[in-house]
Amino acid sequence: MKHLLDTETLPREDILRLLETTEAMLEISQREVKKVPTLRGRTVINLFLEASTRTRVSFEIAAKRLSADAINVGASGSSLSKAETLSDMARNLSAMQADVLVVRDRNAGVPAMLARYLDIPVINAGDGEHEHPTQALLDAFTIRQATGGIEGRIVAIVGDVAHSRVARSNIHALIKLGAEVRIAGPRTMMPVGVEELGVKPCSSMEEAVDGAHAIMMLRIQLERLQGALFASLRE
Amino acid sequence: MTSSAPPEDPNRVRSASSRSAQTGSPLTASAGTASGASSSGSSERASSSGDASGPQAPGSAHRVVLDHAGVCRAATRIAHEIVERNRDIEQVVPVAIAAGGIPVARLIVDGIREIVGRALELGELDVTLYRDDVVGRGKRPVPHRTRMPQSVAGKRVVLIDDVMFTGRTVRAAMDAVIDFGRPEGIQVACLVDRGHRELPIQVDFVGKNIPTQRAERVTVVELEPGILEVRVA
Repeated sequence: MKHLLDTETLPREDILRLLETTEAMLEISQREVKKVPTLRGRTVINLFLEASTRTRVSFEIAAKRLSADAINVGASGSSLSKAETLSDMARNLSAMQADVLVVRDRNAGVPAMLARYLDIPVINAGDGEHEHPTQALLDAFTIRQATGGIEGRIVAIVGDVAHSRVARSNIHALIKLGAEVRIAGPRTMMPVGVEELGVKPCSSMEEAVDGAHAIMMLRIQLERLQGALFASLRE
Repeated sequence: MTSSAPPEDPNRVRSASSRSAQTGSPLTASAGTASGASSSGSSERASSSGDASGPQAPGSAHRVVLDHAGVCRAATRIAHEIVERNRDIEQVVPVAIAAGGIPVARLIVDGIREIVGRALELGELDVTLYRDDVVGRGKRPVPHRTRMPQSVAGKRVVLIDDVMFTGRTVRAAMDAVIDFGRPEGIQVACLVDRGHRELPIQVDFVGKNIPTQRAERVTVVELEPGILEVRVA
């Protein structure tokens, strides 16, 4: 496993290995010295071209707790605002001997494209409406911690499922791990064709959450909708 | 559960072999076996079934160099030595190096309890993230959970492992312990010392010295919970 681009193609064994590794590493954050020397001397570039607090801080903390040097690049202060292309910038960053590139972008497929250009591992920190694999891994880990497992658990995903990359990544990951995934929300916000993955669409929220072990509530992805699905925000 | 000499990393065995080839030491003879064996990709701290010989030792099955009775005698002796060296036993914090050191440490802590009449609380330390050979190695081992039930600050830590080999595991473990606080001192106990140190690290308490070829594999096998034997393949 060189890159982490999506959960759709991530093998089940890799997901399980990541969850087990996380289990052991949880304890590090509870120590007085919250740091292990594993990635000493490595450089991680966090390229966040779309707004983010939690994910960006999480990646920076993760790099620092593993003793890597983390460099954060945002969209406004970067050369992208001088019309440098994304691929040129990424190649420049890679030429500076970065060891890992973490990318968030508002366009789907950007991390996968960069992974083709670059020799270093690329981690997708959210790309458009496509995927957000690290969030899904975290959610899977949380469900496992709270309910003791994922196999056979019922997870309801409620809200704007169609436009949510978190929902998409979660659906792929949770189905692979053997959970029953139900979705519910306004008709215009239900994705097409997820039944083939084994997801159960429900006609009401009550039906979706009945007997569920975990419920995910998704906000409306206003930044991606541009007003298409509502007459007004109040609706 | 099978546990093996911790630093059996194939890459390191190979580089060590080429080093001895350069210096022309007697170890050169085993160098071919070492690199040939490591290409079969046997993993350290690997799986169950207790077959320590594996694919890397063609034609030579393992031999048991210490059976369970011998392991118990060694653990009891180590327990006596620890008590003798540390008259103030309440200052001692025993810490097992996961995963191989844990069953050995349990036997030693039992031994100490029989001598002093009280059980010391055992810590468990995973050193995977402190090793100098984890990054860049193909398959990452899944770390074991670290449990340090009491503070090490001002205490005397006794690190306990199954097999002492290159000394790199103990180096990593010392760094890990110090991240938890400043101990008054650190001592090292191991069930088996097989030699071939690559770092200037000494053992304070040894169960048994077993001279080995560098290419050989020494494993402590847990036949059933609490029942151990030491094999060389």
